[in-house]
Amino acid sequence: MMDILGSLFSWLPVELWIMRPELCLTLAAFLTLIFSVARRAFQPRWLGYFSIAVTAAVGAPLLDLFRRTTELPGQEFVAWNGMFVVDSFAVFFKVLFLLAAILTMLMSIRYLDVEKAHTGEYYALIMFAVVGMMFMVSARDLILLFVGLETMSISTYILAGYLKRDRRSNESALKYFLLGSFSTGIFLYGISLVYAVTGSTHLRVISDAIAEGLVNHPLLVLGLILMIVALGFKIAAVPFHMWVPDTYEGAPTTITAFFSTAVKAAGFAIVLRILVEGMLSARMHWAPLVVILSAASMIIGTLGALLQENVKRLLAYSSITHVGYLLMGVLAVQRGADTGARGMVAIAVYLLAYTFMNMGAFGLVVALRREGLVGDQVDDFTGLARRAPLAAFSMLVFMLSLGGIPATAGFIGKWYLFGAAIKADYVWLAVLAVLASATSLYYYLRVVVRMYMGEAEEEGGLRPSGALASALVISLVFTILMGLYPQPFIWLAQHVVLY
Amino acid sequence: MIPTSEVLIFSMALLCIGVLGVLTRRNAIVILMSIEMILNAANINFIAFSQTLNNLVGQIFGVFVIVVAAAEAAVGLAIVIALYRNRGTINVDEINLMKW
Repeated sequence: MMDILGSLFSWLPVELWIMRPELCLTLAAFLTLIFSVARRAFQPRWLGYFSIAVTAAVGAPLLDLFRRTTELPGQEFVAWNGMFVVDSFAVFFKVLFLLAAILTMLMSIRYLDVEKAHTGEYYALIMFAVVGMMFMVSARDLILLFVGLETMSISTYILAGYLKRDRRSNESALKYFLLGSFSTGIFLYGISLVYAVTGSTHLRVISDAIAEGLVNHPLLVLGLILMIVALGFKIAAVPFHMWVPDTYEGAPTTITAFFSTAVKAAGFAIVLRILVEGMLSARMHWAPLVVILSAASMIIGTLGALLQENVKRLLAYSSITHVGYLLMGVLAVQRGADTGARGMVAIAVYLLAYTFMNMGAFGLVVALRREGLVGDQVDDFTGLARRAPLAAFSMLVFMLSLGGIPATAGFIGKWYLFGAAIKADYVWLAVLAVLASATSLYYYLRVVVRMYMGEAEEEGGLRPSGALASALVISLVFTILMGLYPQPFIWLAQHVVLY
Repeated sequence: MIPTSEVLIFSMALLCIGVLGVLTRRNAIVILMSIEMILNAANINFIAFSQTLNNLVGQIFGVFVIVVAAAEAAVGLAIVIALYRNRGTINVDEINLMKW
């Protein structure tokens, strides 16, 4: 398979050859758009299967690139005068995006039929968003980073409002769009100030210019602050989180799952690229801000989730708490090469674990959806253990994993992240994180208690489609596997280092 | 030629007007216009510093920003229209089905 695809692209100049995952996905997205015009000939369901197949097939060139970039430490391929870079950092994140996109599409097929909104454009938009993310994580120049970010954002604005007859979906899209494009404006203004001071948008040049004594230039500091504010909006850190609960609640559940995993991972990838690769020497200016964002996210996220009766909203607040944990990893990236790598690896392990467990939790909400029942209330889970023991068991595993109980993926992720924070001398932040995750068990277990202790009002099990069931099984297997045998995943994450 | 410091003051004023507009106006379209103003504030910076630094990157960035802003406005207006069809209003204070 790999050889066939490799020879298929061997005629390309090297600059395009390292972009073949992006090229394939873009082409597939356009084909899906064209096919979806002919609704009679190509049923949306088949376009869905086509998109899943293509997205999975793009994994082959990515694995090839992963092999090549990990041959030597620091091995990388660049294109367009160093604008576009393929290093092991970028490839790891690209694999993560593909994984999240495949799981999202698998969950979508039946769900969109129930919502009576099944069209091929949906899959094309997911693929365009993934292409945007891939360019984002490969960008070493702020122009390319901005264009990738916007390709992703514009696709996701449409996806949030995809159920155009549903008022909550409209509202979710509007809130997401207004705050998202506002943060884009702030981000651009920050970039323009950094450009004004350093004379370049290339992260390496910016990094050199800062190291050569521009570090205390007031315009540079202002630009850096504005960029962090905008990135705070994108990754949904407190105090820039107001849109998250509403957007997550109103958007189609499958898209909420996509937002909370792939979009969030992409946000963290560019946070690392900008702060570590571009702004490392200005650490004394950004570290205090990141500390505040991290602590506030953990506190507000945990408190906000305590009383939620809506599972999507509960998971939205819980995702804010998880952003707080992940920001500790960003802080730990500093202080010497050794701890630096540790913070980066911790973020990668955590994002991997978070993708599986969060996808699974949202997958259960999708499975509860049928005609006449949205399935996103905590009460809808009441008595699920008797109706559908397997589904209830997998929800139990996902909830325990999100809470960080040992023998699940979430525990491994937290172990690495909290350890990295302690090694980087942020002990008080790690203590806060432990307190937050202990409190968070309360609201995760609330769902579990309803499932196992409550009496079901209706009979009959869940009948998820084959695609949804396979997505749930994949999430479940990886969540447990990563908890019991984490070595391969950690080996994978150890390649996530910026040089 | 206008000195760069004055251009910078101008663009910061535009930024402040845009941010104030986003925070205080309640009509979704006016908020959208305020966001466009923030984007243009950044554009002015890019162009002005491209001139003073004698480097073309800023102008290229400006062109990209214009293209992206057009795409964003198209999607934004589509979202506003979908909302207006279902709710009959584009006042953001009345768009409050979901609250914590």
